[in-house]
Amino acid sequence: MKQLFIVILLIMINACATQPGNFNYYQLGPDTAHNLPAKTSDLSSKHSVLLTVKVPDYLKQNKMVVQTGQHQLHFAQLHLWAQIPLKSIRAALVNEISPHDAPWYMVEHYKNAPAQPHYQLDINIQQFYPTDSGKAILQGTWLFFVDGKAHTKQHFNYTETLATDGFSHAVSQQYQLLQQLSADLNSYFGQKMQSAPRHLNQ
Amino acid sequence: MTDNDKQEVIHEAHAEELHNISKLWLLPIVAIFIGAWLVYYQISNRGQEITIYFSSAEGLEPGKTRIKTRHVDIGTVTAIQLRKNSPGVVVTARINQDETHLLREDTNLWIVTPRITLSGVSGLSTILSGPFIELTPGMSGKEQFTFEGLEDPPVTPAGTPGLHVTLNSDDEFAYKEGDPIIYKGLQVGQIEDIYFNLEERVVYYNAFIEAPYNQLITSNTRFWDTSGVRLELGAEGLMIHTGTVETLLTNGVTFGIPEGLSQGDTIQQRAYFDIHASQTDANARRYKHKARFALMIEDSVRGLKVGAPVEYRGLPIGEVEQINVVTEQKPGLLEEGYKIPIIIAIFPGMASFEDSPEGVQWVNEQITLWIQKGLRATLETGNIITGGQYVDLQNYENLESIEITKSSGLPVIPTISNEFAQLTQKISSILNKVNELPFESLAQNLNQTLQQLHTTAKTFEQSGQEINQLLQQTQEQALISQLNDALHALEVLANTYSGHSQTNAGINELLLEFQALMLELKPVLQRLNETPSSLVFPIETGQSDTLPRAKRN
Repeated sequence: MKQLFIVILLIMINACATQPGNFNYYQLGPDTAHNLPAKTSDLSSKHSVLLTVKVPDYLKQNKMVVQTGQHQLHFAQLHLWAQIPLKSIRAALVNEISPHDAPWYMVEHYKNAPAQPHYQLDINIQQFYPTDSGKAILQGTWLFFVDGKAHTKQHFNYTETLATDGFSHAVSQQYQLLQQLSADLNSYFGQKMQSAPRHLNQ
Repeated sequence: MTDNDKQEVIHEAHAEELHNISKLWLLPIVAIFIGAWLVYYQISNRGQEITIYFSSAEGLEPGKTRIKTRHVDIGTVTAIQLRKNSPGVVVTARINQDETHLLREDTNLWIVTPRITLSGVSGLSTILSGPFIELTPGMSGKEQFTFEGLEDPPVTPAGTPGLHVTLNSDDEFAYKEGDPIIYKGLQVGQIEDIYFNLEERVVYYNAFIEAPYNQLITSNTRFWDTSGVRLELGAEGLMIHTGTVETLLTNGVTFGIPEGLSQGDTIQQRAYFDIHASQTDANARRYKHKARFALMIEDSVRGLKVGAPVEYRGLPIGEVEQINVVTEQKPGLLEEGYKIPIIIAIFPGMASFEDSPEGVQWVNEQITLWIQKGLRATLETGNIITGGQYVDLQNYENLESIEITKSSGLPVIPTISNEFAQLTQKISSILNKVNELPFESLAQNLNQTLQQLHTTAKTFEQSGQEINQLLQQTQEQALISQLNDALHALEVLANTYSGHSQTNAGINELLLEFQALMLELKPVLQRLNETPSSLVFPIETGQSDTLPRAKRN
């Protein structure tokens, strides 16, 4: 009996002595902080746009994902997101679609708006990952609401080429995809706000 | 032995007369005596033959139908024949020899069959046994063997102790045999038979009062009808009279001694009494002497009836005898100023005087004296609902002395209008004065006043509406302000928990972290499921993740 106990103990010690894997953590964000607004903005003169973001399930967990086939994804075991991607994507869009000099700004919640916004932007991301064939992809649709009624719906599909291997470069390219989407939305808002002075004057 | 020897031996016969009768003859002689005795015994014990006449022999059979008294067999019907020269049957029967003493002049016989009457049910035992003839023994000392059978059982068996009375009535109500005579709710007797006197046009009822109740019948006893329910609507109001339950279905007579009268002498032999319509009527007839007066009424006599009370200051002293009697009054009924003559009777006995001619004389003198001092008669309404009236006598002061007149030979008591009539006259005079008022000018003034009042009322109404609007606006503004505050509070509360609120976002983030944790645990659980040994033994770490790759040219 005593001998059996000693054998079991040795086996468990052996298991605990196994080397853990080398994990790598990544953050979705700009390379530097130069894009963040350095000035104080007077939000009382701007119009708020309520932003909602919907993502696939693989962007609601912290394992990095890479497309290995047309309908195949690989979940990395040792490469992880430092933060759940949904939070990072939402924060990136709020920042990128709220230029400092624009007469609008994005809010994630009602409480952050002075009143219920007249505008609402729903972004539904369907694909957002790098591939093992040298591309980073961002696909989906966005829907713009005015006073609770759907005003504009548009599909988007952005692609960036991966210059080097590895997740670090891929994350950088993925953020550029979000910046392209933000730029197109800013352009749309710029035109829409000018053609609809009624809301601006309210 | 030789022939000579034989001759010598033969002697001449000597004839000798027999003087004794043979004893054998005794036997038929005894038999004859016995037979004769049996015949005599049979004849002497076969009983007394009687003859009974009935109208019908329904159910009777010769040799079977029994004659009974007190449910004891005393005889048998022997023959039934039709009666000659008259309708009916002749029933011949034999009564046992020992019971012939029952056959008397007043013996009654009748056929007992099932009988159902309002008074009860009898003879049910004969449904199975068949009819029999019931005999009630007579009390007379004279024998009789031929009887007229009764159609119905006698109401009172012969020999029952009590008192026979004869009642008579000329009213509409009628009684039949067996109807009860009630005293304080108890049946003390029955109507036995009825006789209608064509000359007098009066019905006489022979009734029997059983002992010991016969002692209640005295010279002052009064009988009155108590049939069914009797309603009386008079000056004294509505009165309901009923007898027993039996008398509700049948008729009945009750009796008593009027209040104030002595018991009187006990009646020992058959006596005659009247049946009065009611107890009131019976009581009223107790006074024998009365003083009669006339009233000449100017008012309406509607509601005044014969028998209505005459009161002196509320005390009944008499009654109305006649209304609108024929007098020597000249003007006719349809002429103006016609006074309706009424005869009233005042009973000295009712007025606490002696019920005698002397009492009548005293009342006449007293009334004459009172008339001179102001006694007047009025018609008063005794019952407002029925309108029944009565005559009220009262002394009035400060009246002019008038001379006593007579009408139809009776002294006239002067009358005055009653209070209601006086009131009616006053109202009439007031109405006449009202008619003389200048109503047209008053109406014009009244119309002008009403128009002004109408204008004033309109102005007041407009002012009221404005005030109401002002108050309503004030209230609505305050209410709207409160509602706005409440809605704003509700909105803030809704925003706090709405889909894009910070609270909701916090909950969503918490759920996301929980979901991420579950996603991390899922591969671990999957690995354990695939390689359970990995929990204890180390696994190969040589494998590596697939990485994104740069685009190859």
